[in-house]
Amino acid sequence: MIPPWLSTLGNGTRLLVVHNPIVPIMAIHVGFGRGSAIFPRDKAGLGSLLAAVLTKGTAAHTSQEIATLIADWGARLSIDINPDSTEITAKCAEEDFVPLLELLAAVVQSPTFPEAEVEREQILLLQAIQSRQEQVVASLYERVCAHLYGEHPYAQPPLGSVETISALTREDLVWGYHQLFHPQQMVITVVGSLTPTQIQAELERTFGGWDPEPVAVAPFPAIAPVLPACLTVPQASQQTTVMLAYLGCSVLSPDFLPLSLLMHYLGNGLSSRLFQELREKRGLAYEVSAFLGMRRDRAPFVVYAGTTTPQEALTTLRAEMALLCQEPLTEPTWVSVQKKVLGQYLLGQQTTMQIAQRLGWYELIGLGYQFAEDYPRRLREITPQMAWRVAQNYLHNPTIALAGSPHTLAIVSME
Amino acid sequence: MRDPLLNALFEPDFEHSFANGITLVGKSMPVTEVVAVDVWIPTGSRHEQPGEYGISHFLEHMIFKGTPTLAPGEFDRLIEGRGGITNAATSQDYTHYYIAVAQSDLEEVLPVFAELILGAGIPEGELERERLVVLEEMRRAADNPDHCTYHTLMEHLFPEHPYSRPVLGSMDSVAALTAAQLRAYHRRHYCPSRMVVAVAGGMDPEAMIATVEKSFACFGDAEPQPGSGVAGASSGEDLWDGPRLLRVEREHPRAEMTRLCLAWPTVAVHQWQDGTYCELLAVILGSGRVSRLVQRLREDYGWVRGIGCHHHSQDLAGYFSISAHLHPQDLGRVEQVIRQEIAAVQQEGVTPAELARAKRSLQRELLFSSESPAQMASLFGYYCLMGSRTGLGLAWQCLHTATLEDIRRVANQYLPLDGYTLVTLSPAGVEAARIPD
Repeated sequence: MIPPWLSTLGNGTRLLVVHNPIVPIMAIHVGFGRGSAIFPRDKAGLGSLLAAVLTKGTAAHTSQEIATLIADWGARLSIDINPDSTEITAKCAEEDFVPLLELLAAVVQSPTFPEAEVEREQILLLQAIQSRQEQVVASLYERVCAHLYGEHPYAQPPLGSVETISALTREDLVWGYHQLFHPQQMVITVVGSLTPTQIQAELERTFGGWDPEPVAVAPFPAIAPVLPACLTVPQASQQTTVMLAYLGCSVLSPDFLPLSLLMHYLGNGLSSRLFQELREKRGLAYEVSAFLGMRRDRAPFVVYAGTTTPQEALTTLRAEMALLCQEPLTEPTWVSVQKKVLGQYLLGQQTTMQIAQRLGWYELIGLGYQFAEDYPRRLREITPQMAWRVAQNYLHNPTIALAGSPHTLAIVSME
Repeated sequence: MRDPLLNALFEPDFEHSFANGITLVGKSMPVTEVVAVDVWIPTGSRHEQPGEYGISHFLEHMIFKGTPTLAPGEFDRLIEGRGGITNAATSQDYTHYYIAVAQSDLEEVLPVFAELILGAGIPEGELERERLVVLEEMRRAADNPDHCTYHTLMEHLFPEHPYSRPVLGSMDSVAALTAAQLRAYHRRHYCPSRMVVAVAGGMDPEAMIATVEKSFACFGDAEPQPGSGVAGASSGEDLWDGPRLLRVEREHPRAEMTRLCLAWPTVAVHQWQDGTYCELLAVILGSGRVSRLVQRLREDYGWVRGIGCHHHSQDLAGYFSISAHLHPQDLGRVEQVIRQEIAAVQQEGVTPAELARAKRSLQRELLFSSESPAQMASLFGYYCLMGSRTGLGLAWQCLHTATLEDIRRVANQYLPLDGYTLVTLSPAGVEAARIPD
């Protein structure tokens, strides 16, 4: 990848540009280093509502005008408010870059949150909360997070609850917007066919003069470790989802890469350990996977499977996790995991948007954009012994969660 | 937009036929170091005979279980150990297998990939274990309300036709399949003479031809090919005998919200022109906040949580669908609005601004997908298998030439208001509101 070009706008915004003259496509990532985790518990879901209403009006555009402009350009625009970051991504053809940037600037700097739009999206968000129950793995993961994080904001369900969403008002959105959106927190990353000089000039014109008063936010409470629990969610389903969850580490921790490699070893791809042990050798599940969150504070590490033989799946999952703590993986196994992760890392930066998102996120989360270039070297430095030590530190005493029919849950022993 | 450049983007660089009948389509993308190879085989659930239902999909699973010279899991380790990815998919019309790897690894990986697909061993013990996995996949699908809505729709939209059957088969049919059946099916259908290999990425055309030849040329057809060998073959036109309005109501224990799906059979994939016009109509009616149905039903009234329109191309007959997530009490009035909007297009047509916007949306979608070798290999492979290597280019041309009258015509021709299949799937125990017949 061509190294990014870094500069700063007049108002302190960091700007990263990668010049890719081959295809006439522009990808824009506007990120802020604060996310929904800064919102209090009784406003859980505020981030989701804010994301839904942000593009519904600016000082200069109605909701319909915004949608029409985007559609006229055939552009893509999406807003994600995650626990630790707020990210706006947009993609367009080169010829539409300047007007799209002007629209993005209006959306970021002068959203109006029309009352009727707030009410409409509030109702639709309540429906989304209801539908969330249909997503077994996602809703079980939320249950697990609620347990693992207790009073910490990571315990909040991303969509909020019926109670919190129903109580939100337009004033909450305006307040939440000022907490998240500020140039001091902002990193803009642009990857595309225009030159860095052209891009910087346009960004200076559209974003450089934005200079609102900074807003201080309260620091997070520390994560208080909890005792592992056994959670069950009765539901009408043929399969049972079996999940083991651990409190992992921060993406900024030196333990992150070893832990991440262990996650890929366990659950990434057809050659992964859990896929081989549960699916290929035992036929226990179709879906089996592992997941490690990327968070500024300690993130969940999860392994799970969907099965009609939950007892055997649970026993096998636990045995596999115990093995990781017993002894280091062999050198050849480790080398092949490193190669897998590295190769897929490179496959994951084929499009302009993938590159923009990766660089922008590294920069705003605190890893620094250089992490993208350092990643292969750092990855190769992790040894099986380092990973073994990390496994012993993090991957013991899981919280166990099961979602399935009441009949099945009654006969599974979680001891 | 720089049209000549874009036109070139959507044509493969070359098509090449090997002596054993394999067709290779290739696209060189010098900017990337990645190469994607997508192998397309013209067999899916619609080619299955009674007693074979679910066999195409089961075979796709068994392919990864190795060959007489390749142990189960060996290919997975080979490709993933180099940072590549692999996967496969089965539909009604086709099965395809794909890999994406660094260009420098292709020479080593591709011969093994070819051996895996064409030399499948289908070992008995592995078959029994994999049967359990396939049954788990079926239960997972049965637990998913959206999958069940889709399956119910296909069952009623194409009655008496192979498209009506689930690709996965039934629990009973999969339980009864034997290794001998899978081997015979493999011999019959995995024939180089009918396969398409699509390659896209950072490699020049000569190297693509040489590498694919080295890997695939040593295989020949196991059995002589008797034409297309389509089971229950029928053309798009005789799939339905005149308009009929069919309502199917289902419940699902996992559903929290109701699904509404309206659909019409349309044209076969090789009818590029009308297929493209139907896609444009789908964008105008139901893609994005400015589309007619999203605008009215989600943005203005808030009666649906989401609504979308799609035109799905299939080999024998595609279909046009409108799907929404909503509360059951709103079913009647939402269907009413959908009917009004279709009637409006049929009578008054769409506006020039709507058509221009829809064209641009589809053009940009193609432009954005041109960045990824995997997407390009998949597009070229699909169109080539469906009978036209230039299909994508033709579809691209149709996007430019479509007129207001074309859109109005397809709305009238393919979306009759007295002939559609309507499926609702509601949470268990919910009374749905209907519009009076």
